Amino acid sequence: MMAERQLSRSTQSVKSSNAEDENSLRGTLVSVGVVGAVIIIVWVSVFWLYMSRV
Amino acid sequence: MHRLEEIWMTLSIGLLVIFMVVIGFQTFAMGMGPPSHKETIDPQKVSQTAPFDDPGVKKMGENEYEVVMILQSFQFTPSDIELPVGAEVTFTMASPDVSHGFQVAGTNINAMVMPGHIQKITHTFNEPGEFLVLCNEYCGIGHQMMSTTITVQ
Repeated sequence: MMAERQLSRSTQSVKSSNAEDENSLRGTLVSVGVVGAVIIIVWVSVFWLYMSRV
Repeated sequence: MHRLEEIWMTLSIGLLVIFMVVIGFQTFAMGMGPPSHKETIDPQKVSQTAPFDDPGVKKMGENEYEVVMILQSFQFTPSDIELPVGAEVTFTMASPDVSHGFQVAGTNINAMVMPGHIQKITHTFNEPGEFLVLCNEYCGIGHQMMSTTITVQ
C-alpha cells in the first residue's frame, strides 16, 4: 500500500516535470530570439558599413 | 517537434536564406565579390613583364584610371599616388617576393597580392582626402613600415 502510493507519487512527479519542461521551452525561445537579434544586428551593421564605403 | 521549436527553426532557416540571397545578388549581379583575378605571372620576371615594366598611374578614359603597382618588401611602387575626385581606379598589382596585402583605410579596397598572381581591384573615389594604404599581410621584418598614401583632390 505504502509502496504503491510512493510509486504513484513518483510517476506523477515525473509527469508534472515533463509538463514543466515543455512549458520551459518559452525560455529557450526567448534565448534563441536574443541570439538571433544579435546576429541580425551584427549582419546589418557589417552590410551597412560595406555599402556606405562603396 | 515542439511548436516553439518549429517557430525558431523556420525563422532561422528563413534568415539564412535571406542573407545568402542578398550576398549572392551583391556578388553575381552587382559585381561586389572579393577580388579574385585569375591571371598568373612569373614572380621572378615581374619587373620585365608588361605592364609591370612601367609601374605608375595611367589614364584610361574619362575619369578612368589604372594604377599598375608592384608590391615588394617593404614598399609600394608607385607610392604617393594622386587622383582626381570621382575617378574610377583599377589597381593592377603583382609581387615579386612574398604575399603582401593592399588595404586602403576607410574604403572597401582590401586585396591579397600573392607572388605568381596578378591581382586587380576597382574602386571609385567619390570623396576628396588623403587615404592611408597599408600592407595587411605579414611580409617580413619591415612589414610595419610598409605604407603609403593616396591623395584624392
